[in-house]
Parts: sequence; structure tokens; C-alpha cells
Amino acid sequence: MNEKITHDVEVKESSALSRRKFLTYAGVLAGAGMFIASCHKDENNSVITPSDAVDLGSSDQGLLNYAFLIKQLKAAFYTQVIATPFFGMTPTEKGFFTDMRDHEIAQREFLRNYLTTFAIPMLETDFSSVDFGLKSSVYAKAKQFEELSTAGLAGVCKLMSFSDNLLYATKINSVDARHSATVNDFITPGTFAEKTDSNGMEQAQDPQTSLETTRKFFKRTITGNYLPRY
Amino acid sequence: MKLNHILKDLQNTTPESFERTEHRRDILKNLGVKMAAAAVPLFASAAFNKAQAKTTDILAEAIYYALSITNMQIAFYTEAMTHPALIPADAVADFTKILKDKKAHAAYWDNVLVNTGNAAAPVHTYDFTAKNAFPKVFTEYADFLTLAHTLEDVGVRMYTQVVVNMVTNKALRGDAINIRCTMARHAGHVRLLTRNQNIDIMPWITGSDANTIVGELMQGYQGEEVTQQAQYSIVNINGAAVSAKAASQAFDEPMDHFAAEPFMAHFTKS
Repeated sequence: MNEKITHDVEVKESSALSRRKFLTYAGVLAGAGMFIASCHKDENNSVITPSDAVDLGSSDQGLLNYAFLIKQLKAAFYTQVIATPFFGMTPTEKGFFTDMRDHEIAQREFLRNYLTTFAIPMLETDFSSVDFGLKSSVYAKAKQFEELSTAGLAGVCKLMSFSDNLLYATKINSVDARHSATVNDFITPGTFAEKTDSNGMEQAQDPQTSLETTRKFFKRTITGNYLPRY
Repeated sequence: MKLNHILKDLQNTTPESFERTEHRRDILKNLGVKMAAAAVPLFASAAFNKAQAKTTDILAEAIYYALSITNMQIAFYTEAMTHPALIPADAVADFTKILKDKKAHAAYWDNVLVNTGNAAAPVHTYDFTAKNAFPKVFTEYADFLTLAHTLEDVGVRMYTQVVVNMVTNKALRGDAINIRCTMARHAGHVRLLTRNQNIDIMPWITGSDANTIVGELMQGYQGEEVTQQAQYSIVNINGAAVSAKAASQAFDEPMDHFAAEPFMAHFTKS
């Protein structure tokens, strides 16, 4: 119980810190900044956020919610892959996809608990662009989602303010990278790290960029205007 | 086993206080860093910690820690490449790519150290047979792969610690995160290659991998078996069907110097 209280305090502190930072950046617009920064996902009057939209929030809390959103996406995807296997799925493939599904569910539920009352709701996915009966379609989407998730969470980790939050996001980030390498290798052997840059590094994406892709796979509008930026 | 040289080197850096302090100031100045009150201490050995308490170069120390495993991996793959019968032709390109990435990582960190006025990382020599505990490491492909994926997993785990210790510096931390992602890709791939040798492992770490790893290598996985994150038990979390295996696989656990140094000592000559 003590731990839980501590965690809540940390999330709130983190939020407060970000607001201060925001105000600093906002400079002369401090008053307006305070109004914008204080808008919560439950407050529907913001001029920027459509009233039916789900806003991820700000600071570490917003970043964790974005990680939670990505995990919702991937857990739903692999759950469907296993529920309606494509024609010719081998037992080996099924074993890999089942493991990946279970990782995504474990991470999703952990993040939901970790975020406590700050967690966004569970959101309905939109997989109308996927043909789950077709191996090539499933693999193409798995590749896209794993690359999105690896680069997206790397961006989340880069922006995180508090050590504990950073630690948990980092622990998850490398499991995504293992997934991504695996899916790539299944499609074309040896492509496990095909997109590293000249420094041998993953190319992290800032949340504003990767959210553009992530949000396409959800039915409701998702906004992240208050997320920390690079 | 006596304390290994890595620990000694780190401890030996502290008495050269003035020079080091200047360097520390430089890295602070150049990187615009403040001491991380919230960061987890990386090197907490008694002697080192005492000195560290007065200093603010947690970033430089994190880079040395990162290089300690990256340089070991480079030496390992470089030596493997000199054994032409070891790696099958269809896997040579994979290890060439992995080695190229790691050399780029080392060059990047070396460059950061130079640009911030810090001493270069210590250079070591290695014995990957671990005093003949793994005599066939460069003659049997499966043995080579087993040590390779263990070093890869240890690398990912050590870099988790590196990332957290860089919490005060967004730029450096971002690079450590990106390098770490590539390392996890390497780990996943090498584990797949291991699996192709009819060894029952997946690209992710299950428990402490005790069924496939022997002897000294098991030290590389100690602590990896946990199924609790923060105060939450991950097994069947919130009623979802999550097994203990999946719960451990879903999170890569950090490895601090207490665990990493004895492990690396097996393979370090000087």
C-alpha cells in the first residue's frame, strides 16, 4: 500500500514538473499556458481536443499512456492473429505469435496498473486494413507494429523524466526490439537490424511522429498534444 | 574468485582525484548535466561509492560501463571471425553486421569520452574459453552461439542500467536507448540462430534460461527470472492468462555491476 501511494505521488509530481516546464517554455503566454496545461483528458472544453477524443495527457504520465496505447494495439493484434490463424500457420509460427501476444498482454496490464487512475480507457482497435486470413498481410502488419513499437517506445524512453518510469519503459522497449528482429527474420532472414543508422543505432521516433501511425488503428480519435516533445 | 580487474580499474580511477575532477567538470560543462539525485547508483562498491558521493560524473561512469560489455563483445566476435570453420557461410553476413554495429557503438562512446575530456575506456584482453571451461567456444558452432547470445543478453541487461543512470541527460540517454534497441535485435537474432541448432530457446529470455545455459553463464541471467514489476505480480495479472514464463519474458531486467563484474571476470584476462 505504501508503495502504491509513493507511486501516485510520483506521477503527480511528474505532472507538476512538466507543467512548470511548460510554463517556462510558454514564457509571456504563461496564463494561457496554465489553462492549456491544466486541461485533463476528462475536460472536454479544450479548443484543440475534439470532445470525443481520448487525450494521452502530459509528462511521464502521458508517455506511459502512449506506451499503454501501443500495447493495447499489439495485444489486440496478436490476439486476433491467434484467434483466426492465417492459412498455413505452422505450429512454430503459432508458438512465436502466442508468446508475443502474451508479452503484449502482460505489458499492457502492467502499464494499466502502473498508471492507476491516470490510465486511458481500453480502446477499440481498427484492423480493417489487415487480412488476418492472409499470411503476407499478417506479417506485413506485424513488422510495421513491431518497428513502430520499438522506435516509438525508444522515443518515449528518451523523454521520460523519472528513473522508475524510465526503467519500466526500457525493460519493455528491448522486448519489442526482440519481437521486431524476430518478425523481420521470419520475413527475410538476416534483416533483424536492417534499419539501424550509421552509428548502429535504432532510429527512435518522437511520440508526435509515431502517434500519427498508431492512431490510425483505433476507432476513436486520440490526441497527444501535451506529450513531451524532443 | 578474487575481485576482477574491472572493478579494480574503476576503483583506481578515484585516487587521481584532481585530474578526474577536472574531467568530471568538463563533462558536466559540455553536456549541461546536473547530478542525478534520482538515479540508481551504478557502481556501488564500497570504495567507489564513497568517492562517487562527492562527484557528479555518473554519465561518464555509465559510458565506461557500457563500453565494458560492448568492447568485450567486439573482441569475442572479432576472434570468432578468425576461425574460418566456425561460422557457417550463410551466417557470416549476420555476424559481420552485428560486429559492425558494435564497433560503431564503441566508436560513438569513445568519441563522447574524448569530446568531454574524459579518459579513454580501459583496454582489456580476454579469454573466452573462461580458463578452459568452454574449450570449444571457437570450434563448435553451438558452443559459440551459446556464449554469443549470453553476452548479447548480458549486454542488453547492462545497458538497461546505463539508460537509467543517464536519466539526467536526454541526448546521451537517447543514444544509449537506440544502441540498446540494436543490441536487443542482435540478441534476438543470435538466439534464433541458437534455436536453429536444435537448442530449445526463444528470442526472448525465459526465466533465468537455466535449462539451456550451464555453469558460469548462468550468472548472466541471475535476476532475469522475476515475475513481479513494481508492486504488481505479472502472472495472470488482472485476470489475463499470463504464465510465469511469459511474465518473465515480457521484461528485460537490468544488471548492475555486482552481477555483471563477476560474470565478465570469467572471460577477462587482464
